[in-house]
Amino acid sequence: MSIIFKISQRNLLRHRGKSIVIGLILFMGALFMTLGNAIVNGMNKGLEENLVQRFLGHIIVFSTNQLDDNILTGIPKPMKVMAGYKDIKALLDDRPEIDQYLPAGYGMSMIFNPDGDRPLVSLMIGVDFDAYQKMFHSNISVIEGAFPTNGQKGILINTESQKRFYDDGGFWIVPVNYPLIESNLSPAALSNVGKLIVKSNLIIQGMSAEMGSLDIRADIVSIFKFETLNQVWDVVNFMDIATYRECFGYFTSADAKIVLKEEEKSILSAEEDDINSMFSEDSMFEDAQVSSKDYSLSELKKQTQKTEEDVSVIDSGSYNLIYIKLKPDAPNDYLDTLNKLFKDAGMDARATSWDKAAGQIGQFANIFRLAINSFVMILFFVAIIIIMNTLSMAAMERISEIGMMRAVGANKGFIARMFLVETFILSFLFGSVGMLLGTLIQRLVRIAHIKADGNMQVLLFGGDYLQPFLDPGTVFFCILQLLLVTLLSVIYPIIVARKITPLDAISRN
Amino acid sequence: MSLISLRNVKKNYPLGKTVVHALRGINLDVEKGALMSIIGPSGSGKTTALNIIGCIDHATEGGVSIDNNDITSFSDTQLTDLRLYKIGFIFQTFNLIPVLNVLENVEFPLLLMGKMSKKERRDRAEKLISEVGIKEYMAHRPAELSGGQRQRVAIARALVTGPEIVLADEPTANLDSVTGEMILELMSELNKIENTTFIFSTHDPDVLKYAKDVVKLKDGLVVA
Repeated sequence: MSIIFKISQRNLLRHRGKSIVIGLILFMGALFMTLGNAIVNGMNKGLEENLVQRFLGHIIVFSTNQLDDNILTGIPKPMKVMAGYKDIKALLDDRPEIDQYLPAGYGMSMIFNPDGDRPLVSLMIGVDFDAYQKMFHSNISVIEGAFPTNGQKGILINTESQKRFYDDGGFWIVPVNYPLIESNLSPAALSNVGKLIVKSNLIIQGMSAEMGSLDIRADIVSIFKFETLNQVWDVVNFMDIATYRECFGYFTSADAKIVLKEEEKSILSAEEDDINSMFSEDSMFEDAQVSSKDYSLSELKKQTQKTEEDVSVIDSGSYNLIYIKLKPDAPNDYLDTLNKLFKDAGMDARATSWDKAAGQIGQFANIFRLAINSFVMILFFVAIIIIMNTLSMAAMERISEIGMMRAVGANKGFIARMFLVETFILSFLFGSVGMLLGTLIQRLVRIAHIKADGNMQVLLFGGDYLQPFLDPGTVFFCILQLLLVTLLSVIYPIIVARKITPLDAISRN
Repeated sequence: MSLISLRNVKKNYPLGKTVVHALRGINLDVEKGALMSIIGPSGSGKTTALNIIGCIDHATEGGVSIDNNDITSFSDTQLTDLRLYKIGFIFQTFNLIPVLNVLENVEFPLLLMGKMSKKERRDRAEKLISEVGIKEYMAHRPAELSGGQRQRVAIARALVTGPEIVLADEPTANLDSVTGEMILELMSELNKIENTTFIFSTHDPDVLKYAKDVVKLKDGLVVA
């Protein structure tokens, strides 16, 4: 055993009181640091899980005309329509880093309510429902009605919106052709169940950036809730993409170009006399020509299905954004790569990260992480000051021992190493216990399944439950932090100890 | 050529607004193998002179050379090495490392030198501990020893590196007369056998009989 380690270890035992004080500070620091990092980690993981995997994807692509990245919080400005989706789609299809993508309509809408005194607002997402569920891990869970399939049109309303429509609009909504389920009523609606106005369709007007929206009446096909963060996404509702485009006044691909036959062209360009002649007796009736052909029912069905599939596959219609999920091995700077590709190809597309798209929610994660880290840093700053002070006092109390060591030939480096080893022994022993206890508490908190109460806590927890989480990287980061604190706290005492001369020891004696 | 040479060495200590002149310009030459005693009343500058020779303190003025090296311009590292390799110091108050036992205390300078194997270190330390007569206390810590025993440990530690010079500042001041005499006998014997240069300070006239040379200091000056 090295003489330095031997002296350090025995000195720590000799000055037990001070060792325990310093050790306890390191213990507390390591404990709070571990827990803080675990909470921040859990929150990040929760937000990643809930925002990226279940709601936004890693990257959102907008039109280049869309200036605001934030699409989730505050009152988002109406979103611009992306031009040339077909080309963008072709580019995305060629990128091996992209796991999945989903184009969508995305905009605020006004729900007309002749009976209510306040306007009802809803954030409408126009998507292919099946594709949405597939991409976002079946994040929509149907509570009333049925999940729309096979291109069924209609709107899906969030349970929280359902309650809000009653509170602000005075009516309760149920899916078309489904009965009112009293057990799903909010307390306010339940107290008025006898006089309840029940609606199964809504008149909605999209608030499009192009100001070309229409009022449409759409059937409610289901009441749903998000698997997670349902309270946070209370204004988010869904429409099928065709209804969405109609509502927001977008032309669909089917509207983009209509090829007329020669006969149709001649009708449109016909003069009045020609039109009259069309209804003359000679032209009113014509001999029917009947031909026979064998049709296979199964073949017809296949063709029908193919057409439906093609609509979603080859659709080059109007979308506001594209959700993109990356493969796990995609480079961290892939966002920049994608933006460069869009720019080089001259496309009307601009990619942004999920946290920017999530606006304050995304920033909240960063702010909370900063707050926790600041708390840990303040804790460590205080710890550094206390440890530094205690060790400096210890150095002054050991003047005769240190001075005598210097007198018999120990150099300044030996004295510095001795202090370093003493502090690192304490850091290792007490810090390890602190980190182990922190890890244990983190496990217990996970097992306790503490449920978030309200939106703030949901965001704070990064999900519906507090799930602190430690991975090897975080543990390594905690160890680094602890080492840094130890190092910083011992620097000044080392400077003090190195200045002690043999003469100081003799003078003291 | 002298092993140790002091030329017009002055040492001033600031004390508040006044200055204490501990040494007022002393000249001293010590030959190799000397057994010299520096005597004088309290405050005469004995300890200051020993500290300057032992590279523990700096002269305010004057020249100090050891083994033909002018140490006044030495860096801290050079002075530390000089203390480690050439000088053994026996302090008045037996400064030992409290957390190390007798054997470890004596071994300590050898560990700093780092030139010997563990066995060589141990053999050398045990030999010296036996010579100073405290072999049975080898595993004891300083707090478990008497004053005389601690002083013997300090002597063993000072001699363990085989230094050319051993400086002892009033080595018998805190000892009973029997133990004090035993230690002086030991120093005298080592001086004869190893040709080690010993310089010790004292104000006890009985100690003088062991010295080959005597230098008398008074008010910071060599008077005899």
